[in-house]
Amino acid sequence: MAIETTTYHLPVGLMRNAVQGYYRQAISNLRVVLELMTSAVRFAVAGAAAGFAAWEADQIEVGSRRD
Amino acid sequence: MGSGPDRGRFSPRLKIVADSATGQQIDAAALTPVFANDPSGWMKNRYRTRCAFTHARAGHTNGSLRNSNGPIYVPSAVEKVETEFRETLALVYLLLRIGWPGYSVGLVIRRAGTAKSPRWRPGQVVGLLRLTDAYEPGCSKASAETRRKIAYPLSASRDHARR
Repeated sequence: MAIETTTYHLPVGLMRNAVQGYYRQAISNLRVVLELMTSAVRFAVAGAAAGFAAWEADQIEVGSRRD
Repeated sequence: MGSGPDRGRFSPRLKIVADSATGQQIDAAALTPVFANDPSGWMKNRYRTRCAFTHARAGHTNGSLRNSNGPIYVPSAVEKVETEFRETLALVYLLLRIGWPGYSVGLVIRRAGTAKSPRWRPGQVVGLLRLTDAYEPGCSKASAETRRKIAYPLSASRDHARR
């Protein structure tokens, strides 16, 4: 499959999309990077370690049944 | 780590970062706001642009990037992806620095930020990283020298520089 539309394999998806000519999908993947990092850092600036742990535990593991 | 079910609420989270003491310190030290939750903010600006690509809005489709139906190699499109990737890299390192005070950026990344590109002036990523180096919890602002060296790739910041 050429187009990586999932957000779970960002580095692979970005490169695969870019080298195969799916530039829109490659740039779109970068949006998810900003979403994820901002979501994580908001706990850091608030000093909410427990909140971060809960958020991190709720993330979907790559290759898991929920992926 | 994938994206959890709580995706899709970018602005409220960005606002938390922007309103925090850390976010305000960085925005005050930068020539143009980084975390401001409006189009003048660098991160918000990049996010909005990527939303346009995600939803394939006019002018943000594969067809407009390739000028073709087929998935073909287009140097300008690859360059666009590279530019977006570099900006994302810079923002992610800044966020990492905020969330992980002991984190330092490796030399390889610093060199990557200086790679020459017609659309990416050398020093932009490095300038941002200097800001992160200058930033320490509790400090008020980066030095004037650091501020001078920071140049953001937004058109608004270029207009700001011309003034």
